Amino acid sequence: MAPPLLSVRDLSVRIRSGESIVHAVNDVSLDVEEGEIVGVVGESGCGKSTMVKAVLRLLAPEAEVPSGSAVLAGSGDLLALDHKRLRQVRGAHVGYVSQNPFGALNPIYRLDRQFHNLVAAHRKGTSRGESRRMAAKMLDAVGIAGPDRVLDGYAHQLSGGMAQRVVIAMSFLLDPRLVIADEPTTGLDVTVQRQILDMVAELARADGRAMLLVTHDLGVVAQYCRRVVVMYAGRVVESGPVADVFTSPRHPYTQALLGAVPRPGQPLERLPGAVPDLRVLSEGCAFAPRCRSAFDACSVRPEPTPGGDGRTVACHLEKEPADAAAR
Amino acid sequence: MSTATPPETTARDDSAVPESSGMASRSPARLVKLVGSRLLFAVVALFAVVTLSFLLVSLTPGDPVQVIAGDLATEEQLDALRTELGLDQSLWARYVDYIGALLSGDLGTSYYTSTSVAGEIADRLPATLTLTVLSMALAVIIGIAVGAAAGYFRSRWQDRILNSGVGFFQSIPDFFLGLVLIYAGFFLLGWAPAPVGQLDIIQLPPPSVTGFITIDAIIAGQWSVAASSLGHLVLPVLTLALVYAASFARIARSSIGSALNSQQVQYARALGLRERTVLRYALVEARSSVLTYGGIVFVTLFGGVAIVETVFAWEGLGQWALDGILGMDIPVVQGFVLVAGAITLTVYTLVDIAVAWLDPRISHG
Repeated sequence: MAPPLLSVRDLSVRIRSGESIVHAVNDVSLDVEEGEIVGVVGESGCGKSTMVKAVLRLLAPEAEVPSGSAVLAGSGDLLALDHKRLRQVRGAHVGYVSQNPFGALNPIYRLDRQFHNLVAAHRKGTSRGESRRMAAKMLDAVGIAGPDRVLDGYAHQLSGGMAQRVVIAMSFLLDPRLVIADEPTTGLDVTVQRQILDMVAELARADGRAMLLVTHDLGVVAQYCRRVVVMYAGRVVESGPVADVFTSPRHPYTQALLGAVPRPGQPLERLPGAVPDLRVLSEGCAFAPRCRSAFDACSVRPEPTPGGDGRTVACHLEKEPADAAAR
Repeated sequence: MSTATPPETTARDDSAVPESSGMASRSPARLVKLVGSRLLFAVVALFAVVTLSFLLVSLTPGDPVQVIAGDLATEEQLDALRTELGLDQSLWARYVDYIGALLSGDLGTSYYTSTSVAGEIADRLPATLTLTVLSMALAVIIGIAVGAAAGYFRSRWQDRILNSGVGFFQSIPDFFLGLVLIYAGFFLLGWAPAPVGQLDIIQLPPPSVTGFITIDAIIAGQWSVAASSLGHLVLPVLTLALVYAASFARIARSSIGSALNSQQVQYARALGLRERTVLRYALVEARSSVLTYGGIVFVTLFGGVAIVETVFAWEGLGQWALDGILGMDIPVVQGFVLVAGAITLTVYTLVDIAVAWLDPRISHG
């Protein structure tokens, strides 16, 4: 089998916050194969966004990455690249769709100029006319009618949905093999969310592009992703093919998460307790305090264990189901 | 859950394509409208400043007549002086007189020297403007460079070093820094001229054309006088520039620093834009606040120049106004407030126009 397009191993992120240190991401490992869409799900604050930012080295100066690697096939470990190589990889090999499109676009320059800067940064000597043609074609592909008017305008003149389409056009413009989309539809209204996600997924699938899609929307994962990575308290608790994970979740957190999805005619299951304080690095399983099935072994942290069926679960119940059943 | 729409109906989002996108933002018509509305406001504001300054100065406790005549003056002498200065009239009558004279360019005469206030301002303004404008220019250069560097290296050791330097110069009073620089530059090292004004005592100023000594000396071809005047500018300009660069660096650091960590700069990095393009993205985002703060710093500098002028015997507007305030010389104080107000309004108006011109998000009705 060919090596994965993106292979993240044991990635940790710590963020200094005043006197304390927040362990935002801990030993996260995940793979994205060529051409597949992988979803990363979890509650707000579970570290999913921080994790993808760490992969692209976009973290604020307060954050540090004490361990881990993120190998992009053909480019090497993104976390170890020098600034020059890193710059060449970003945008050209890995696209990035940010959470808030208005924040992502420069407020002062016309969009035409921003597209030109992007193209010129990677393809030296590209003329303004050429970059404009590329931009117009891409804007058309992301469903913007009248690209010329948009290119001659400024970011603040766009609607939310259009701004996100422009951002998507920018991240797809140079034909990257991987696109990392960090909650691309947050802040948009529901109908526009659907349109945008359909468009992005279609665009990725059409060109065999791989995508890492960060979201807290399980419906989105079910609809668009082939595999899913479930995160809790900065760790991967379960990963595997979406169909398997969603029909037979093995980690109690995944079960709780799926149980919290509203279904007609069924009472909503509520997960008691709150997410743990990430300033304290717990010895045991981070989910144990909220877990119905917690037992003695949970005072030691469970390691993510591959099950052979493409699924990985970090839970002691995997090894000692009998013990748990006895309770 | 599955409500996937076929790609064809991935509705083309053209509902919000701006009508006015493109050309409208920087058209000459917009500039004229912009400048017109700002100038109109400035004129109204200047009138308000004049009125307020008149009231403020006139209603300040203390009797100028008593101050001028001294403690030993008799009641008759005080009354005579009061009549002579027109202070026996009602506030309203004095206001009407003042405004009337102002409109014909007459700012009154000093109670002490009987010189024309307008004449004094014309004589002294060039000296003060030279000092403030040069100090401001240097402060802006140092402030932006230091602030941008500190913002770029935010919370790293470079930032900490720059920040403590900024804190040091911000906490030093300007007159004290002036004295320290005189001590070091003139007394110890001997490379700066004595702090006796704009020229050496034995030098005669060049024939006045513009009022700016350096420029006049160049016009008259008196190169040694021009060089001397530049030499005399070094210490006072350095004094003011260092102090105001410090406060300028602080705002530049925070606005450039936050722009460098803004989402749009993060996104520019994520797209692999060149580092200098990324920096430019940050600077254009920060420039409005830097420009606005620059205006405020200049105005503060103009108001605060008096003490440094006194330290360097600069014979400028600030020093003159300070003497006027101490002696309750009402026409002098009013004249200074008028000039300071006019300069403040001019600077703010220019900043306002520049910010609106540079930022496409600001529109004017």
